[in-house]
Parts: sequence; C-alpha cells; structure tokens
Amino acid sequence: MIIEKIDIENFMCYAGQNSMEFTEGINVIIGDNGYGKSKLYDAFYWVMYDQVFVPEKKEFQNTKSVKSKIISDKAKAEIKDGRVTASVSITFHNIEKDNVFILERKYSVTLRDGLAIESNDSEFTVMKKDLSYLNAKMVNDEEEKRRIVHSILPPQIKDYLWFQGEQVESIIDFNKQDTLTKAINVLSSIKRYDELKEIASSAAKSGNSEYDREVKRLSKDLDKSEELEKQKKQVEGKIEDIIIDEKEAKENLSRAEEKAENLLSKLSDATKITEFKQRKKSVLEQIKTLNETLNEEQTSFHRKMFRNKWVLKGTGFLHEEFSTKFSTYESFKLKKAADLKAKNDIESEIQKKLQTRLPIDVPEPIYVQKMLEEEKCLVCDREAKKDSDAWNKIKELIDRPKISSNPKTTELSTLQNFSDDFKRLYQNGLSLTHRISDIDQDITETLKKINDINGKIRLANNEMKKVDEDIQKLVSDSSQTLEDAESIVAEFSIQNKYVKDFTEKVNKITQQIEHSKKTLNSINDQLKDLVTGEIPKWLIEKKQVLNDFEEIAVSTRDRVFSNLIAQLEKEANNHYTAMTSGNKSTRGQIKLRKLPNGNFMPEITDSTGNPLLGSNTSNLILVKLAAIMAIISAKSNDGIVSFYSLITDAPTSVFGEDYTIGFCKTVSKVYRQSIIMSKEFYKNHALRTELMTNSEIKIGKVYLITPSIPETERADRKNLSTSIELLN
Amino acid sequence: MELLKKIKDRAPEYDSSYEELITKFTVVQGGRAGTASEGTSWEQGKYFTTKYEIYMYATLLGLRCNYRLPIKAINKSKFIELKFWQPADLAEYVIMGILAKSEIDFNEIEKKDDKEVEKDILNLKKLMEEYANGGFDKLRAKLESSPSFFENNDNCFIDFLDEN
Repeated sequence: MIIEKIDIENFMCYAGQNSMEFTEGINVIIGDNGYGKSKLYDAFYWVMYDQVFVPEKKEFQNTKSVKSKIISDKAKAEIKDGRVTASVSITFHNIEKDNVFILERKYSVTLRDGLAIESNDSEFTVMKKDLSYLNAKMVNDEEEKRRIVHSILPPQIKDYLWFQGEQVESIIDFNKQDTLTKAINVLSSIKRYDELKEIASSAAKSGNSEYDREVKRLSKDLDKSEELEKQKKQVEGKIEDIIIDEKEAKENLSRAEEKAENLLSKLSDATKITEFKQRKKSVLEQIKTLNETLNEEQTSFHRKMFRNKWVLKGTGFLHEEFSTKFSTYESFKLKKAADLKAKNDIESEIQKKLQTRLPIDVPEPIYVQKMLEEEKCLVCDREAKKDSDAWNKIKELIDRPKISSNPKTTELSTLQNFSDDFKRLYQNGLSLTHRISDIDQDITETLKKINDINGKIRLANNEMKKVDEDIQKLVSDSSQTLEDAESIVAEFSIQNKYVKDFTEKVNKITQQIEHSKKTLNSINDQLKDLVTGEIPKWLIEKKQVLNDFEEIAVSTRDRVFSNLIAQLEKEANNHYTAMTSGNKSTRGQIKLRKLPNGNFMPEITDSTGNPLLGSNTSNLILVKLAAIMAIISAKSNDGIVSFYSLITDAPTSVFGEDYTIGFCKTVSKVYRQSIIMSKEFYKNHALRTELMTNSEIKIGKVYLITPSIPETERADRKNLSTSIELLN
Repeated sequence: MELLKKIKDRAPEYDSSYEELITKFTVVQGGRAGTASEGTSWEQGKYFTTKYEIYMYATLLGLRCNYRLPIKAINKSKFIELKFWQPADLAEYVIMGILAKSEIDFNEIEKKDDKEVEKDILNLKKLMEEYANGGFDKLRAKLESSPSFFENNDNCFIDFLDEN
C-alpha cells in the first residue's frame, strides 16, 4: 500500500489548499523547527485516528477536545461570517491489487461576527476505487470503513510504523521487559503455540488421572492407596504453590537484573559524577576554611596595628629625641648628685677627724667654756692663751656639735622629682623601639600569609571551576542530573542486592521442587507396588504419549519463540549495522538477552558478548529504531516491508548527523515507502545533496516547507500559511 | 606630684568637624566591649574599634611627619582620659613623643611649683591635640583627594603611614 498523495486544506498552519505527492522510496519533508513538520504528521494521524498531538499536554487529543484549533487561524480570520472547514485527505494505492482508498476527514466551524460556533465531531469519509482507473465510490458501511483503516494500518503494528522521534523511547522501552515479547505476540503465530501447549498440558493431565485411577482400582490395599493418594495430592499442591513462588521469584529476579542492567550503562558516568560531587564538596569545604582563615587574618591585620604596634612604624625618632632630653636631665642630675657627694665627703672627713680626739660633749661644754674663759686646759692643767693653738683646739670642742648638727645635703634641692616618670617613659619607649625595627618584617610576613591564603583560594576556586565543568560536561553528555547520578549509584547497589537475594531464592525453590518431585516419584512407586494384576498396556501407552505430546508442545513453542528472537536479533543487527556504518565509534552488536522469566531485552554487547558500557545516546536510540524496524521487517520473507508505509516525524533529531544518511539508506531499503519529516537537511546543504544523490538511497519526493511568518514573530497566526516546495 | 599620672588624667579634645571622619572608620558604639565582633566591624570598614585608637593613630601620624595644627574651631569634642587608653604602652609612647617634642626642660620643670607644672601639663595636652589635629587633617585631605584609597584596601592605614 503506497501513500500517493495528501491534500490538506486549512488544517492548522496549512492555510488554503496544499498538496503533496509521494512515491516509493524515502520521501523527505524538510523544514526547520516550527516550520510545520509535526503539523503534517498531525494531518496524517488526524485522518486515521481523529486525533492530533497537543505539545503542551504531550499527548494526542481528539477533535472534540481540540475543536477549532484544528482550523487554520488564517482561514478563520478571512471569514467573518460563514462556515470554514479544515480537511485532510490521503490517497492510498494498493499497487498489487491496483485498488485505491481515499480517506478524508473534515471539521467545520460556523463563524458569526468573528465568534466560532464549534461542533464536536469531525466527518470521516472513505472512498474506494476497485481499480485505479475506475470512479471512486463512497464506502458507507461503518464496519467496512473500520476494516479498511485497519488494513491500511493494523492497530497492533501502528506504533512501529507511524511514530514521532520522541516516541521512540517509549515504543521500545528498555525499562519494560515484556516490550519485545508483546511485539512478538502481536506479530507472530506464537500465541497458537501457547494454546497448543495448554491443550497438551491438559491432555497429559487427564491421561495421568486416568492412569492413576486405574492404579488405585488395582490396589491390593485400598486404605494405603487412599493415604498415598492423599499424600500425593498434598505434594502436588505443594509443587504448584512452589512453582507460583518460583515464577514470582524469577519475575523479581528478571526485574532486578533488568534494572541493574539498565543502570549499568549509566553507572560509569553516575559514579564519576558522584565522585566529582564528592570532590566538589571537599573543595567547597576547603574554600570555606580558607575564607575563614583569610577573614581572620584580614580582621587581625587591623588589630595588629595596635596589638603588634604597627602604628608606631617610623616613629623611632621620637624615642631618640626623648632620650636626648632624658639624657641631659639625667646627666644634670648625676652631676648634681656627684657635687653633693663631694661636699658630704668633706664634711664627713672633718667629723671623722674630730671623732678621733674625743667623743662629743666630752668634756661637757660648760667645762670647756670655763677652760676658754680661764685660758687654761683643766684636763692637763697647761696654759692656753686666747687665740693660741691650744685655745683654738679647745674651742673646736664647743663648735663640733654645731658642725655635726648641720643638716647633710642628701637630697637634690628641687621642688619636684619626676625622675621615675621620665625613666618609665624612657624604658617603655626603649622596649617599643626594639619592636619598631621588626614591624616591616612583621607586616611583610602577614601580607605574605594573606597572599598565600589568597593563592590557595584561587587554586581551590580554579579546581572548583574545573570540577564544575567536568560535572557539567558529564551531566550533559550522560543526560544525568546530580540527583539522578546519586540515585543511579544507590539504585544500582540496591538492585544488585536484589539480584543476589532473588538468585538465592530461585535456587532454593528449585531445590525444593526437586525434592518434592522426588517425594512424588516415591509415592508413585509405592502406589505402583500396591497394584495387583496388570495395568492395561494401552493405558500405559496413552499416558506416555500424552506426556510426550506435552513435552513436545512446550519445546516446540520455546524453539519457535527462540527462532523468532534469533530472527529479530539478526534483523535488528542488520538495520543497526547499516544505520551506524557512517560513524566510526564503537557501536557493538544488538543482543536480545533472555531474562529468567522468559522475556527478552535488547542490549548492546561487544565482540566478546559482554555488555558494551557507555554507549552514546545516539547508539541507544538507533538500537531502538533497529528493533522497531526488525519487528516489522522480520515478518516478511525478504526483510522488506512492502505493504505498509513508514511515517515518522523527526526520528533523526535524536541522533547525530553522522547517522542520518545511514538511517535514510536503511529506511529506503527496508520500507518500500517511507515519509520522513526532518530538519537535519534544512541548513546542512551538503547533507541534503547527499540525500538526493546518494545511489544507495532510493529517494522519493523531497519537499521543503516554509512558514509565511517565522515562529519567533508569530504573535498571532492570522497570516500564517505554509508554502510547500518540491525539490526534485 | 606624679607627672605621668597628672598627664594621664587629662582627656584630649579634637575638632568636632572630624566627628564624621572618626565615625567612618571607628566602631563608635558597641566597640570591643560591645556587640560588634572584630569580624563584623572589619567588614564594615571600621578599622578602629575605639575613638582613642584613631586618635593615637592621628597623633602618631602628626608626630611622624612633624605636622601640627592648632585647633581653631570653637566646637571641640572631648573624649576619654588618657589613663584609659589601651594598649597602655602605646598611650605612654604617645605621651613620650609629645614630651620629646615639647619645649619642656625636664630639669627646669622639677623646679616649678604644682601650679606651674599644671600649666605645663595643659600645654602638653594642647600640643598633643595639635599633632592629632595635624594627623586628622592629613586623613581628611587623603579622603577628599582619593576616597577610593580607603576602600577595598585592607592595608590602607598602614600604607598611609608609609606615605607620610
């Protein structure tokens, strides 16, 4: 089925009448962001499903929710009163049968004085031409219309054929382990094998019951048989319960393995981010401490002006000047003290001399006076004429006490004595002067210390900047936020623990099952031993055959499923290799890994079969695209999807330009027809030229769409229309 | 009579017009004994924690460049007596400096009676005020000519000593 044409009238940004024709091969609609690519995708989707994508809500909504927004604003603005209609019609051509289907959807509103009277529903018509050259007939039967829509795009494969770039993630969701199983169920006949398996199981069960009844009937000890039967039922019940437990444990194990596996690819980056975050924390601490030290130093720097006497810087001369004054003062005082001492010394000398003759008042002064008057020494009875030497000596005895009673000059004769104060100031100054000489060095050392701290802060800040850049780079490369990274690391460790725990549980359950089966066998043997006579041969054979049948049904189903998986894996790898051939980075191989619960998960492995870690986002998206393509292409014998057209909006925007051409080549090979909306070829003309000239690409029609008003200047869309230019 | 004690009993004065300048750089209220911590006062650009600190700084600055300026203003502000200045050794160094610069003859002063000594002490106080006034004048001139000098420069007051 080929889409030959789409006619769009007044649908969203496609004001007026617009038409695009398509051929086999890859048809590309080129337009920059906001140019109308997604609205074209909406046009296709709306015809088929009566829904358009609402970007604000990130979901598809029905016409009755969106209503007149479907209609071009320009068209509405041009008609004040009257009816305005949006319509899209798609022409499908089944080339093999040469029949044509024209599906058309219309939605109208009535405008009265610029106000819209909206209806809820759109109108859907299907026209059919049994042969392309015949006239089209309208299909009126609703059931027939539904059947035609389903044949053009079967619901179960719709998601794999018509999708938007951003939906790729959810179509093949690595977080949902049954994604592939569901796809296989939809696309293959595996369900029939499942049914067969069920029939075989119940047949085997009934055969076994019949055999057991016969064994019981032939028992020589009915009571014992009854007892054994009872035990058997109990053990069987137990095994059933354990199997349920096993299934659950395996489910849990698969889930944990899968979660751990999913995290594994992100773990390396997450660990690095976490480490960087830790580093950042420690650098931050360091900066904090350094800043505190710096603050302390800067604060104490000013305090040092007084504490370390820096304020005295260069004032040493004051002490020198004071010293000079003090020295003069001291010298004067010393001289005065020396003079005094000399005087006192002389007086002492005299005293000393007198002291050697007689003690004072010996003889007593009255006798001495008498001696002077009589001019005679009464001691020795000799004459002592007045003014003679002898008379004078006697007189000295009278004068001596007078001399000795003269006050000694022991103190300086001033009114004040500030000597202690001056000395104190001198000594205080002296001790400070010693420090003045060290001030410059002290300041230099303090400044050096501050400089050192500043240097360390600069280094720490640089490191901080680097760590931040590293984090930023990792965050943007890995699309993980810091919080994501932390939770990934924590989650990985949790899931790994679960894997360990559930593996142990599964092993334990397996042992329990084996043990119970042994018990069951022993009970069966005991029952058999009680049989008297012979069990009919046909019954034995019947039981055997039915059990074999069950075994074959189970193994066949598993083999078919495995083959499907192998085929899917092969197809996916073909597509993946083709799409990634333009890029030189390690791409690995797609491996569909079997989980303990029987589901399969796609993963990228290296040449040794080990998971390839650190695959880039482009590769992961391409794996998903490859899986999507494989799901469809594996169904056909030659790997070519010839009946259905691929319509996809911006699938290439999620991976690099390196892969764009590879993707187009693969798509043009896998799908007989595809319609791709892409912005990659808008600015990159070299890429556009390659698209249109590469011999490996089977190119269909290439269109360039351009809006009449750029998105940034679109305050109102009353003049918005979209021009469509065919480039080939 | 104890000369130093008598000197220290005096409270020097300054030209009231410098109040703003003093307040700009000094934690006037809630000083070290008050609510402002060293860290916060420094951050606010208060390099001195008491008025006598900036006064000592100004006096030493005046002495250093031998620049004294009589206070002409009628409005003078008095503050705390010298005996309360801290560190005491610095305060005594300032007194020593003033004594060195004064015309007082140490021997002669001892011959004077108490009344005459008091007169000398008053002159000493005046001399200190003149040197401090000189220092404040230098600071004012610098603040007027390059206000940014005292902003974003942790070493400004040390650097300013070197400049003079």
